[in-house]
Amino acid sequence: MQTKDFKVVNKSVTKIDAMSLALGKPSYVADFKPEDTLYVKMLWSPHAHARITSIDISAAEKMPGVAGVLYHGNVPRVPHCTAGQGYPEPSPYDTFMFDTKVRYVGDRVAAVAAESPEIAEAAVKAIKVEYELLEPVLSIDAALKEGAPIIHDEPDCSIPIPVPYEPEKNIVARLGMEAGDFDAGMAAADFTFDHDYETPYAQHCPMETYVAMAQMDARDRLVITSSTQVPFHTRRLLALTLQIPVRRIRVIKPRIGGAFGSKQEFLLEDVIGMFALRTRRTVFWQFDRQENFRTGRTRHPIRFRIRSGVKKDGAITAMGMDAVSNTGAYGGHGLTVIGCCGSKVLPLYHCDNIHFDTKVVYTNLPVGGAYRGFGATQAFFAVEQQMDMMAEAIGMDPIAFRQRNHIKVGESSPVFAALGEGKEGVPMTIGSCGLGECITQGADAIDWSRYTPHTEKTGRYRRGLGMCCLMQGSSVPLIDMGSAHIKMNDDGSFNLHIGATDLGTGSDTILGQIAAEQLGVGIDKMIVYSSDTDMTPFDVGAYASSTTYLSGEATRKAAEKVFNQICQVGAEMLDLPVEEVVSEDEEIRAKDGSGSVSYADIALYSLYEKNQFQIQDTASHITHKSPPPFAAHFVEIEVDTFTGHVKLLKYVATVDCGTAINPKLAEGQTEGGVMNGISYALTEEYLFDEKGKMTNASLQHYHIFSLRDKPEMKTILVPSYEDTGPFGAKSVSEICINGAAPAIGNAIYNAIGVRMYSFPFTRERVWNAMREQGFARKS
Amino acid sequence: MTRLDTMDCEFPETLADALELMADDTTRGVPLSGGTDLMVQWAGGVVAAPQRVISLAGLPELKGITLKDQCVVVGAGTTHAELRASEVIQARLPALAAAAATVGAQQIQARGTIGGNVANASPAGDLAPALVITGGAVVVAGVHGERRVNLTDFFKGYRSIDLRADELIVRFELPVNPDGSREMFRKIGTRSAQAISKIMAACRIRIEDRTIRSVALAVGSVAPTVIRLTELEAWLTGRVCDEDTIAEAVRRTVSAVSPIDDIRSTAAYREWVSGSMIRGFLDAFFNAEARERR
Ligand SMILES: Cc1cc2nc3c(=O)[nH]c(=O)nc-3n(C[C@H](O)[C@H](O)[C@H](O)COP(=O)(O)OP(=O)(O)OC[C@H]3O[C@@H](n4cnc5c(N)ncnc54)[C@H](O)[C@@H]3O)c2cc1C
Repeated sequence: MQTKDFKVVNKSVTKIDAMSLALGKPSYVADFKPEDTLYVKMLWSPHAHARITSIDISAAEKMPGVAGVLYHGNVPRVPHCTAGQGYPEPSPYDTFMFDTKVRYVGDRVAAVAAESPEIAEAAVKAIKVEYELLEPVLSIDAALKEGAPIIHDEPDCSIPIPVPYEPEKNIVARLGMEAGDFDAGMAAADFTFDHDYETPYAQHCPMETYVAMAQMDARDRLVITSSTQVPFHTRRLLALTLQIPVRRIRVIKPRIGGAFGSKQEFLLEDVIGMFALRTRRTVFWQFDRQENFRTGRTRHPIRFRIRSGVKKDGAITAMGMDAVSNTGAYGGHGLTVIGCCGSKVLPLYHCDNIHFDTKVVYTNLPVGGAYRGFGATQAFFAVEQQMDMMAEAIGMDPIAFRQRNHIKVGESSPVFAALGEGKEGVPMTIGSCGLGECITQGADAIDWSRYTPHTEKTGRYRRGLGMCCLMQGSSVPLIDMGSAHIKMNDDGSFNLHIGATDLGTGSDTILGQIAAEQLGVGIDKMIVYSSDTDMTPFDVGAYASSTTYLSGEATRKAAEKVFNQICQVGAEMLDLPVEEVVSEDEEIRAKDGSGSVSYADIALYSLYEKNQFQIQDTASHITHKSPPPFAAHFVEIEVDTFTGHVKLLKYVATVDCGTAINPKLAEGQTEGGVMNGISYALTEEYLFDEKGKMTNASLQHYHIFSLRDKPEMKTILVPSYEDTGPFGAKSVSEICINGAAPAIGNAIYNAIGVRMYSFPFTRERVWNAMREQGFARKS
Repeated sequence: MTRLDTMDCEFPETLADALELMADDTTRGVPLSGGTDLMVQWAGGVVAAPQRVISLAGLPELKGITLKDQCVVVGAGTTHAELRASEVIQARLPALAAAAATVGAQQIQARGTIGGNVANASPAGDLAPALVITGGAVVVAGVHGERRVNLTDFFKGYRSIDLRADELIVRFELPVNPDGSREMFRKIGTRSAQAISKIMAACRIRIEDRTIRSVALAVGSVAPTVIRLTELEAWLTGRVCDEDTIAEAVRRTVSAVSPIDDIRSTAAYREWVSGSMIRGFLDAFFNAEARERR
């Protein structure tokens, strides 16, 4: 049903919540706080690895204004994971509301709820704790060393799915696959490559830090208002950890002030839920920025060894990725992130001989989680630089090399079938791919014809061009499910209820557009309500690039069913068989022009006049594919060889996201993601002291790339049509973060002939690489 | 900890009134100018908020930029925004104008003052190098009168300046960049705005016929306080500015600085880049002079 003649989708309609947000209407969790609220403060572990030998909460409990103190001695001990993923989760149950052991600086020790934040803070200080200090494990090497301290030595940790889990070795997961014969592929190559790369920690830094509120309603149900990407997983995890039935819990997600993956996590709700159950009061908790850095989730740092072989004609004969991921003190998302290093990266280029072997380890460092890009970001940094090395060795332009090798429509990769989420993947043939066009248009936009090798560059300031290609996925096939419910109102408007979670991305708007398109009405007829476990049907939540593709198709299917009902009733009113009517301009018309009834007439008729019923329907959707969006990013930089400063001059991001349901929002996602990626590539950095404590846990010292440094940016949407997606759509919002680090890395090499194997590309790191690689100044 | 909203605050309207308050233990308070250092220190608990503050905002004596003889007189209450916008500063003290433009970002520049920047005495205070290359002085006052202190002597050491508890900084007297000289300022931070310096440097130099006639060089964030590279200046004076001279100047710069590792950078990088900055200055001046001769 390829039709490009859209009325509502593929149009940049205004975000439906834009005006209320711009006017500062109550929108976010903190806006809904009643007067009579208890505030939570947590006593966080000052130690990276220690056992709590004694804890005395009596002084804190007695302080006036303190409503309660929680610690391991007065809450149930229920192993669970904090990752909001499917069920059973592909993550270990290695977390407890409170434990007798602390595993990183920023781990929970005890919580206080009090009448004011100041009282809570004072009470936290009054809790007396004695620790037995244990040797902290502060690197991947230390975690894997023979006889290393065991971080999860508790007997009750386990993983709920049948995959390797070896906490006694600090190993959270192992994952691998082989296709063809890797060694033979390496042997057949004219040139082989073997390089190590390392990607760093980073935090999502949403404007709104983690925040949630718990209340008991009149019928004694627990109502949680949370800035979460996963309301339904949160409800399930709450029932588990509080040991109350799901039916006693309602989770509502209001507007979110940014998330980027960080809020695909269950970090606050158990504590406030427990306080609310015990005090019957409203309980509010919001992290400050330091807590957001130390305790909030981060991007898993990963070490890669990439081995590859290439023939002189440009054929890639072997591609091998060995990787070790540091998941920090808890294992959430550990397995799935490392899996995506393979599944979202290795299929991009033709290669018959593939080797993939990975491990995920515990350390006593901040905890990894979901972060936009989810493993692909890390792996593309390594693979896309190695692609440039291979092109250089055979004397082929990096663009031509990629054009020759990238996956195309009708092709597949053994990786799709091999790597899934905690189980085997799903075989897939590429149904849409605009990558060739992305490369061509991007190269034009940056004027790639100026590309000259670094050996020809001189002077203090040296310019370089760099590029990379990218893919991602769109939802997790055969696992993720989204659903939608639509009902018609008297005036021909519609309520759209979706479990899907708009975290600022605009998904409420685009799902409204999809429904409106299918129903044949304008976006003004859609009343969208989402993410409320009492009122909306189930959805896994906002992650895995799934909302547009998965929840969007559920929405389209529900709309199609409702549309059919409208046609039926319209035909009944016109006294015609349904085949004899069409929908146009919010009317059902007789094909022969003999009559018409408006949608409002149909609604009134169906509700009040005859054969009354509510025009409504619901649909769910699971996907059989995870069609990749594709992208090519291009960057021009200038390196100051006197200071190591990498200055961005121009950044071009092209993306094939199928049909852009809302082009402005797709561009916004892309630009935001690119800036996010640039920030990760150039300035953001977690610094630790020798005891594993983050030393720059503030926005003063953790530097987000500033708008002052923003280069000229251009986003080009390259349409394709994905038949399995709603109106041809694929995902768009994760892929765009993956390009900056490899593209800038390639551009640095092109400018000064120095290869960067780790980042951020700070002046210090660039200078070190210049020294190590013997950069010699030529004037 | 004193809460900011319960602190006593005095609003004197003349310098004399302010100095009266400062003179006595019982009325003295922490002088508050733009508050961009103080408020952050108090809010973050770095420094306990005091019982009393004395606002300098209403003191006319601390305002204004005037050119007198060959000296620019800058009131201590002058903001960074005023410094960077001033035609006098731009024309006669270009390094200072450039330095002011790198402080924080627009919002901070609108509130933060030169007096606060100097009195805060951070080794990373961006104005310090641009001030000391002028060879100028700071004028401080107490109830018993004024004192004039050379800027190089005023910065005594780590977070330490030559200012008594009962004194306020009133103004700066900064000899202009003489005709035929050039000035430059360069700051290195992680990003272009809202970054405290990893290192910064300023330079005032006169080159004639390829020969360095006079030179002043200062580097910040590489030692407990801003440093003038006086030995290097003496060595450079009278020398022909060629590649050999520049290479030796770089070597001497690197050995003159004593940076440390901290949250913003590493000692090794700072050492190297301080040499690079001096190279950058000399290269630029030398090339500019060469262009003019042609
Ligand atoms: C976000 C942010 C970014 C910043 N970025 C930079 C930067 O890039 N570079 C930089 O150098 N600084 C930076 N600062 C620090 C600060 O803005 C500057 O040092 C500023 O010039 C301080 O001036 P103020 O008037 O705000 O000082 P205040 O905070 O009012 O005072 C600072 C100190 O000076 C004393 N004081 C002030 N005036 C006098 C006076 N006349 N006599 C005696 N003592 C006095 C005060 O008692 C106090 O000890 C930044 C600050 C913030 C919050």
